[in-house]
Amino acid sequence: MAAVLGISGLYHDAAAALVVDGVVVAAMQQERFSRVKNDAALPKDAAFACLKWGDLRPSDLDSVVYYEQPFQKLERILLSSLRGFPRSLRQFPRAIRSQLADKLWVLDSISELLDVPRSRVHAVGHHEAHAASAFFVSPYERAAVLTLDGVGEDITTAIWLGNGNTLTPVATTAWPQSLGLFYAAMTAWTGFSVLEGEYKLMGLSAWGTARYRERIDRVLRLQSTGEFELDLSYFDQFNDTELGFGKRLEQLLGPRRQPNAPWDLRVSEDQHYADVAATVQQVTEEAILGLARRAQRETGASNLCLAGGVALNALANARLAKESGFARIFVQPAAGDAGGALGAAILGSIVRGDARPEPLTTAALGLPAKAAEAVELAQQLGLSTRRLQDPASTTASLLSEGKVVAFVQGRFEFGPRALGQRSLLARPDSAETCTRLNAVVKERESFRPFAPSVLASACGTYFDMEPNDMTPFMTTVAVARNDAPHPLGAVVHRDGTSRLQTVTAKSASSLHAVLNGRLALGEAPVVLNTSLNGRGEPIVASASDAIAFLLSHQVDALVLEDVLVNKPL
Amino acid sequence: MFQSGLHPYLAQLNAKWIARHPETAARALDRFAKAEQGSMLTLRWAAARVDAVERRAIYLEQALEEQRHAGLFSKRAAELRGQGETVAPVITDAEDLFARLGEIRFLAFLHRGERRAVVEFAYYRAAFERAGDRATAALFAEIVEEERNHQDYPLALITALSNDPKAAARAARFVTAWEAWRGFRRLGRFLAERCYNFCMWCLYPLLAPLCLWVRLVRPEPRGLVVTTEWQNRKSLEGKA
Amino acid sequence: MSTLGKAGRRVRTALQLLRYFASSQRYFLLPLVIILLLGGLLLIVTGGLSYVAPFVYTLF
Repeated sequence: MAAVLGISGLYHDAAAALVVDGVVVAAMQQERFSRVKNDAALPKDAAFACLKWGDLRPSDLDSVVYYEQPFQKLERILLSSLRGFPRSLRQFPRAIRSQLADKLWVLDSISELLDVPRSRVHAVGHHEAHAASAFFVSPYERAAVLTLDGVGEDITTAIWLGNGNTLTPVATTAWPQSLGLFYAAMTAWTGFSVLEGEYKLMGLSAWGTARYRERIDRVLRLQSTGEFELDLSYFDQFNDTELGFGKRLEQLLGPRRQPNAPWDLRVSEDQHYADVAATVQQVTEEAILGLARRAQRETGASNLCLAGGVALNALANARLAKESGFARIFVQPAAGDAGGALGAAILGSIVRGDARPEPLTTAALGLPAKAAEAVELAQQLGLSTRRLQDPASTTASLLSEGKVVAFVQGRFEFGPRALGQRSLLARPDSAETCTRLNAVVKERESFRPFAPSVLASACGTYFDMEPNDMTPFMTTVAVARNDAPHPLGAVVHRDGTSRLQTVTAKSASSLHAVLNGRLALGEAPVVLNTSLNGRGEPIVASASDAIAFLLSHQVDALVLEDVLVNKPL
Repeated sequence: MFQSGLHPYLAQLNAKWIARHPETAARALDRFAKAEQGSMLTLRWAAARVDAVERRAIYLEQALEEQRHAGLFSKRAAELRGQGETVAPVITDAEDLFARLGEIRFLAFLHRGERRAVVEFAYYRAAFERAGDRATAALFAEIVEEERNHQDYPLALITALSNDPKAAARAARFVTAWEAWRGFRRLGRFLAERCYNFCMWCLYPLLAPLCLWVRLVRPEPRGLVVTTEWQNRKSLEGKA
Repeated sequence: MSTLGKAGRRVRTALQLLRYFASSQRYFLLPLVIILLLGGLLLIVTGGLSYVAPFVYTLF
């Protein structure tokens, strides 16, 4: 019976997760509190919020577990710098100073931050934390686990066998051979910001054709054993937080794209980038497929769990579901580094004799937004407020009028996807709403698609598959049906797919009620669901954040718990 | 960075310098955007911490205005570079001054910062006006007006919160000294960093023999390597 | 948390770090690690590692 707090941070996406007696009590990302996107600073606010929610003081914690081994990391950085001599000169001082400043002393810092004895602060392996974050909250007793990211201490790719409450490492690939590095470098070449622009590259790929296979094969070679090999001469200046490409890549594929230049896919230059994106996506999918098949050959498992930043590639996950030979696949919503905090906490809990947690059924592991706080603040700021008898049906009515509704319900989500707790909702069929959302509210590139949330029971009516273990968390895509009873133009991407969320009363009860409300109005039980945040900022968390969003963005209404907030006319 | 007496003169000089070329102007505007965005974060954190809803509303409103200013600076910087309308989101860091200083001193800090902005942005407006860049001058003029609103209320709030007419002056003196100390530390950090980099770059070439040794004894591992644990397990299963 | 306590903890961690690198696979990195730790000490003493947000209300 143990209370364990898991911590991730100092590199990207700091988070804290609390597991008490084998139950996942809370999990939250620091960025939601600090309002700094992908905030990597040690998650002080998130940690204390988890403790407060669990009604615990730091002294009640049996263990605090950090998601990476600092000494192993330093070892790899030193070896990497020495192997890379003399090219590694430029990044050597910076990398070392970064380690000396805080990363080597992270366990001490955590002990001081939380006022917990240093003897209770431990570290686990980075990829082990990733694997734990997926397998131990999956519905599987036995599964192969594939972890793929930029790099942990030294490992970039790992296959595990998960069985009951144990994880056995099967095979690993070490830095700098990294799929995360490859995808991130290509993200940078396409002009998107690394480590948060990867899903933009994925979205862009649907607009191109994979015509550069022969060239990309020179950069990333795949083998039938499931192994891959990067030709490192195409990359440059790469370390843990700067994953860059070199001149040779530009000679191969053309000059990099200017960051933030406006997109026009009718123009041949931009079409070229889309074609490269399509090729990169295709190769990445095949690499992951190869690794998954290898995992199956090694372990003989019929289920697969995925974690690590690369596991957020929903297109690849859909291909895995079809072609990898695994019967069931699970990817939890915070598959990136934030999930490492959850994995670390679960590992700490299991080591202390607790059972593994129940399978994850919802991502709502944060703090609720207080309606009273919203009303008070809204009135102070001159906004109009109204208590609602039936928030779900009011929201459904607003949506059918074509309004864009900021929807804040219950505890905020863990992970980068909004799943009905902090969402911007709109009709799924209006192309005009789509344009407005992209251009004005979210200020995103025009090619970016929106994702739908659909009633789980109606999934097969609108998409070519039934709900699976990934669909409640928006970690896979499905092909939209041509013969659906209602058009879904705004949420289907160019390639005919949607990164859907299937909604049940258990996974997102308020959103479930809204979808039923739409059904009652004779409309499709589908909504456009995008995250409730402006450009460059993290998803909204508290009531004050929601009010601030309403004030500074052109949405039509905010429904926060049972309160409707409007801007004065 | 320095005492407030020196700041306006430095700002005047700086303004003349940056208004000359679009590139230096763009870089300066990007820095101002980061400063505004940093203010936004500081104010959002203050709003999250304060209990009284009246002050939460005030801090939040000012935070949103600072964010808007950051966007305007960033957009104008992109225009000066010829990048048209596209703007990167402003990324910066900030400190939780509300938690660090307490509300009274935080308000004094706010007042000083806004007052300085009002004075200095006026110089920048004039410099761009003289250089013929009407659009950038107009931007500064617009922002100065809003910063003028921001500079007055903090002092009134201090007096209201502390019930002491001398509190504002005391807090202002503390903040002046504190900022001077921080400026000194920034300078120290800057110099120490340069010194450290120099030492590292001297050390690096001396590592050449070690590099050869590393390549010999710890070469880069290739491919998907099966773990010893798994190999042992498989061989045990094979025997069974 | 006192500065002395903080320093003490870090010294203990530094010793653990040295012990980690004193193993058979890594011993040749030990001299480099010692030099880097000394460099780190110098940085702490000269304030090179102190964090002061650069953009808080500094306008140039």
